[in-house]
Amino acid sequence: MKKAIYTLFLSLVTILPAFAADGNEFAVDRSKINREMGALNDLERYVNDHQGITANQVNAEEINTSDMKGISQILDSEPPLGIPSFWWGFGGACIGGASMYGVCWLGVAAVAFVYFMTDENKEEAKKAALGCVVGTAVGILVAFLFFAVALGYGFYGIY
Amino acid sequence: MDSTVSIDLKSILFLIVICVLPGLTSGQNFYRFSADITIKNKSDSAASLIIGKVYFDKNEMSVLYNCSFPRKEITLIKDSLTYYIQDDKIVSKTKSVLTPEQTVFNLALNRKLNTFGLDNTIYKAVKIEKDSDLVITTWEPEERFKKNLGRVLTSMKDNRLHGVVFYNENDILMGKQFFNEYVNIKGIEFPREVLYIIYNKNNKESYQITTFKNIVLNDTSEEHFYNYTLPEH
Repeated sequence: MKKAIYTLFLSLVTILPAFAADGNEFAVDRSKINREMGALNDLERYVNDHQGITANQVNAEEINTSDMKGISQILDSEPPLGIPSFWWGFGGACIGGASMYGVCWLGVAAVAFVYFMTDENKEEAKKAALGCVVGTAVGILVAFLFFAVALGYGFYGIY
Repeated sequence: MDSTVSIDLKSILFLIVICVLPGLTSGQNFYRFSADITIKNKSDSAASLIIGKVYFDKNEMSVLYNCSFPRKEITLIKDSLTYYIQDDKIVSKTKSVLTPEQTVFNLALNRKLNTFGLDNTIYKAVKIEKDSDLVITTWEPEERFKKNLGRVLTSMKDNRLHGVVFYNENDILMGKQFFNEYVNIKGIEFPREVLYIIYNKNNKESYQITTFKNIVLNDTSEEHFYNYTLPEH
């Protein structure tokens, strides 16, 4: 939608009465932000003092750098419908596996769906594929248990 | 007599230079921007630090981040796509949420930062008012977009963009952006710090501070980053 704002145009600038704005909307509690950013500022200084160092090489006590997002993760697109890619693959394969119709075909379809919906994002597709593998195993197990129970019920029901 | 003529000619030349130079300077075409960049993000659940260098080329309409921290990685935004490159390999390619046209670099080089690029878009200025040292403009989307978009406030201070406040379609505050520590480079005003405050659903704030250092315009020394050739795989 943001792109639409900038690509679509245009209208005349008119001056009409509207919402009242005041300077308070532009007030900032800078000291609070500085407190929040304290550890990151320390880390920034450390990294600048050790040129070329990466997160894996930093041993910062205040911040867990192993969890740090790279720019790719910050800019990454969201998974389809906001549902994590793993669960797309897992759900598809699980349903397919449980129903025993082609086992994981639904999971494979889910992986393809994730791949194309995320504009060919291989990382998201990998997560969906992992979900597909796990989902297939779970689905087959559920199907096996179902048939085992059904068979047992039939056996004891007959005899 | 000769010296008088000479002085007069010098004065005239001086006057011409004084009159023409500002025009020449302001008419200069700025098409490239580069700077050392640091992005700090902090929310309740996560913190991140990104350090690198950014390259923007107006003719290529591309933005390239050459990051050194938290890991060596190149991010290229071009043609509505974002490429992530590690060890000279494309590890991911996604449809871009952000386009180079929308960046602060493009707005600044086109001298459109003052209005946050909102003029001549689906937004229109519906109110301008003065509050202390701020000139605040209220922007509203065209009627047909009001189902999905809310109003935007921009404020100017000392003739420069000071802040932007974003609301959603239900007039709930979504975020604020502040442009601080301006520097004038060859007539282009650019903020060395951009502070972004994001309001979550439970009204908790998260912060992003982007700082720029060593800003260079129309750089030609690192051509390969402005005309970046994507690796084949």
